[in-house]
Amino acid sequence: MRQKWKEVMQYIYHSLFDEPLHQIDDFHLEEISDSSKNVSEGNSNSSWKTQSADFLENDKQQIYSVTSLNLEYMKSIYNSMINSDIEVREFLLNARNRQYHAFIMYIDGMVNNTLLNQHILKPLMLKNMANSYNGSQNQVISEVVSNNITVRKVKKFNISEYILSCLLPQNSVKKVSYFHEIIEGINAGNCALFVDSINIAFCIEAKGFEQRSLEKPNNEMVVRGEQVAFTENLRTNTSLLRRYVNNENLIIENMNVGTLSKTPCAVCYLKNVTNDDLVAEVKYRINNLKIDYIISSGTLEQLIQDNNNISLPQMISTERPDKAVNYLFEGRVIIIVNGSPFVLVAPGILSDFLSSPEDLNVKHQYANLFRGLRYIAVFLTLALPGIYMAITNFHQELIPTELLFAIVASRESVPFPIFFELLVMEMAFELIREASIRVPNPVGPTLGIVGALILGQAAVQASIVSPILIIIVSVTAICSFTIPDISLSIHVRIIRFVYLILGAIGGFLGLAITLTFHLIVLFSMKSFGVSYVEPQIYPSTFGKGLFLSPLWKQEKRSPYLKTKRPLEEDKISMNWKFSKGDTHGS
Amino acid sequence: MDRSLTKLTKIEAVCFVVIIAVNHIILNQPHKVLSSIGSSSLLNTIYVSLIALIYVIVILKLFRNFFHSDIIDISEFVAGAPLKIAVGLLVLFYLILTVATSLRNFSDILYLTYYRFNHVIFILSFFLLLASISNFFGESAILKTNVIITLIVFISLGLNFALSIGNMIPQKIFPLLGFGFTNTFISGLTNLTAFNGLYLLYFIFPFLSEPKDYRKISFISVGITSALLFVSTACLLLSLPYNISDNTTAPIFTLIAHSRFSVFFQHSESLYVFTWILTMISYLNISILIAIRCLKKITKSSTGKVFIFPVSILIFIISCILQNQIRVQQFEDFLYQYCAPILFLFFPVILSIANKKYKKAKMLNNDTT
Repeated sequence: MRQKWKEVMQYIYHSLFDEPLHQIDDFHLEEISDSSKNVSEGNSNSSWKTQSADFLENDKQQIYSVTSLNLEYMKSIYNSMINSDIEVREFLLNARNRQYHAFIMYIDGMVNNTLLNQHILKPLMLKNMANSYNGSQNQVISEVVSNNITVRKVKKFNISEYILSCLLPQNSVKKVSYFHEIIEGINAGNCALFVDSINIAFCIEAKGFEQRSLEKPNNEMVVRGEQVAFTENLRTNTSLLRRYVNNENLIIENMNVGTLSKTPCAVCYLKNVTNDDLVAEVKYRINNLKIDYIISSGTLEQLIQDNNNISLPQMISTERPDKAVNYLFEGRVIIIVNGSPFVLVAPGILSDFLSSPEDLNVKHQYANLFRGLRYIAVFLTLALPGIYMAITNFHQELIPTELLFAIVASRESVPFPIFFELLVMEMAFELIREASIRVPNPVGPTLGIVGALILGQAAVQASIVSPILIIIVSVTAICSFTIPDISLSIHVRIIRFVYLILGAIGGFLGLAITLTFHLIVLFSMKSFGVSYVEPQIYPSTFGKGLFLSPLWKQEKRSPYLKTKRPLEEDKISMNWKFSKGDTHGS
Repeated sequence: MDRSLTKLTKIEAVCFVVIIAVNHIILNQPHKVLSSIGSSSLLNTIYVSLIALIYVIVILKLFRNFFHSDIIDISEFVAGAPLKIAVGLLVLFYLILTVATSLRNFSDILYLTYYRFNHVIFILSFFLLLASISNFFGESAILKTNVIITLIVFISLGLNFALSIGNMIPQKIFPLLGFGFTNTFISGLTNLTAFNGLYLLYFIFPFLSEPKDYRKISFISVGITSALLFVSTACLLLSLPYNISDNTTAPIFTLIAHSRFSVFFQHSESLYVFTWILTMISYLNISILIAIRCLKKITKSSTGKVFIFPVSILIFIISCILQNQIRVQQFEDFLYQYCAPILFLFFPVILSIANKKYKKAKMLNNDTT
């Protein structure tokens, strides 16, 4: 009966968690039956909880005071018999002329071997004056003699304190009492030290894995501006922020996401600027993720953004520290995920995705010119194919007569309807764009040539498409490349097909309906409590939203952020020019 | 006061009221003014604007004790639930009928000008489907979108006026009294229907984030509506020959079709039609929104989403019943000549009674204390 029950449970477990059947053993049985009960009750979240309970139980285990037990436990946790990169080094630790069994454990490739040998093993193993001293085991703090009776106040010898203060010349050593703490440390690239007779372990900072150095940004290039990008390492990224911010009010709070991956993330904000509610909301969302793992900031973004059904980006993603720091000073929150060279900024509103990092480095006149061009480009990318479709099918009177004749003449030999032509060309262009991202670098230019030839000359010569259509598709494509944010660019590329189809069905009626619906969706959106579009049409944000005012005039922080410091400049920021004591000007 | 309602800023509130007037102006209002009065149309628009202003002053005076309440709440205060339901249904009836006729009228214009190979039902369903879906996105999104659309329409109407200036013949305002004094100042009062959107002033209070702005919003709305009516009527009267403006279904469209933007772009009328479609969509969205609010109040329902599709379907059915433009015109005339005046006179009466009751209650309160 029990066997049959076990088989049933194995089947349910397999179908629920998609795991191989052989992993089920008696130990799991009780929990599995609970989980299946929960699922049958309609609680979808409970299966996850039961699954994670297994890990949590291991987390609660306290470290033993016997080294052999600790060693066995750690070896079983890390499957050291099959795991090739788990290293255990057993040795005798010398302290006060006594020897203790001890071992260190680390992951090969994640620690600095020189540091390990010179600054951890050497002081612990080798006998020297310090650890060979055979003085009193208990340190006398004070001694009083009265009536021939000596009263001594002594401090008992504490081996763990002694190791920490005398034998480990390391800047970052943590004493931990539970296995899950030491396991987290080892996973992060630290070295664990277990010593016999004490029920604590030492987590010693010894990270030394290979990582990318600071490089130029690859995706957000600027002409004038910093040429440094974030890297995959969390600490390097936080240090970059520290260097730029240079203020003690910068708070960098660490938190781990993922039950299995425990991916380190950092929430960064300026304590004296950022709205507390915003910080609390970001932390609340991150802390309440019930997920096994995250691998990048992109994953985290999808998990904490307000609305996943809409393809518009709701958080800014940047690889540039200067851009991130600018947002930080403005009163936003930055989220860094270990292993991802892109940091997230919350909240993100529409104009943020249309602004380039270059805008900060050039005069406002240039920035506004570029911004204006970008807005036109967004409009053309979205609507140009749809407008062409609507005009040629329904509203021909808009086309000047000469141009109309030219279009008709160019389409004479084309057998397909305009909608089909346009759809085929847009699809072909999307395919080339997708392929160009995937192909190896040396093949890239070839693909460009083939694409240009096929899309351009050959298609026209074969009378598949008309020349005017090539111009429409090319202009749309060029315009789509001017959108600074990749997520927004993809959104626009998707939505342009909706404009195209409705333009073909209903002409300007279809376009107007799509535009209104698009506007309604935009106005209904929020990012971390901030309206997605509304701030840009507030008179109070003029000069910091769609277009920029001169830097000296940008006195206020964006009001929608409700920061603790509403002003970021004095009324007269260029004091040198207008100060009363100034005699240069007079 | 319902705290769950979306709050309007000043500009949103003005656009909320004005969009209805804009719709009437685009559809046929200036044409109606022109055909009934002739050359004294401009004088008449000034006259009806002044009357509308006086009416608004009266409303303001009557509303002074009822901040945070709309006409349905006030009706409940006056005579309890029966009057509240009666007023609510009256508003609903008027709203749905006006929207349905406007929609049918506009769809017919679109059908005649651009979509002859489609059925008009196709155009109607296009509009109503979007309006229904939009209402699911919430009031705030609709009201903010309305601001953008109203601004676009203002720009397009301003451009239309600017383009028509070259063709205007100022002498066309003579004879100054047009078809006569009676026509201009007595029967011309029917042109007050251009200010049809002002009935929203009876509902706007609970919407406002700052109730003290009510006065400003009312005056600005009347001002903008008057200006739009004046400009549109002036364009028609001074630019087009009388026989053309009198015999076309959409005179403003005809006017734009006759305007020359430049030598290169000779016909830009479809661009204007594009902006008018936007206006109609916004008007529909807002009308359904108000209808849902009314229904919510009458039924004391916590959510209005259940009413979206029934209201849309009702509008669709009424639009389909009005088979052609002549029927639409007849129905509109009936609606604006008989129903609208009843509504616009009935509400001040309710307000006056409410004020008396309020004063009585206040005095009673003072006596007891």
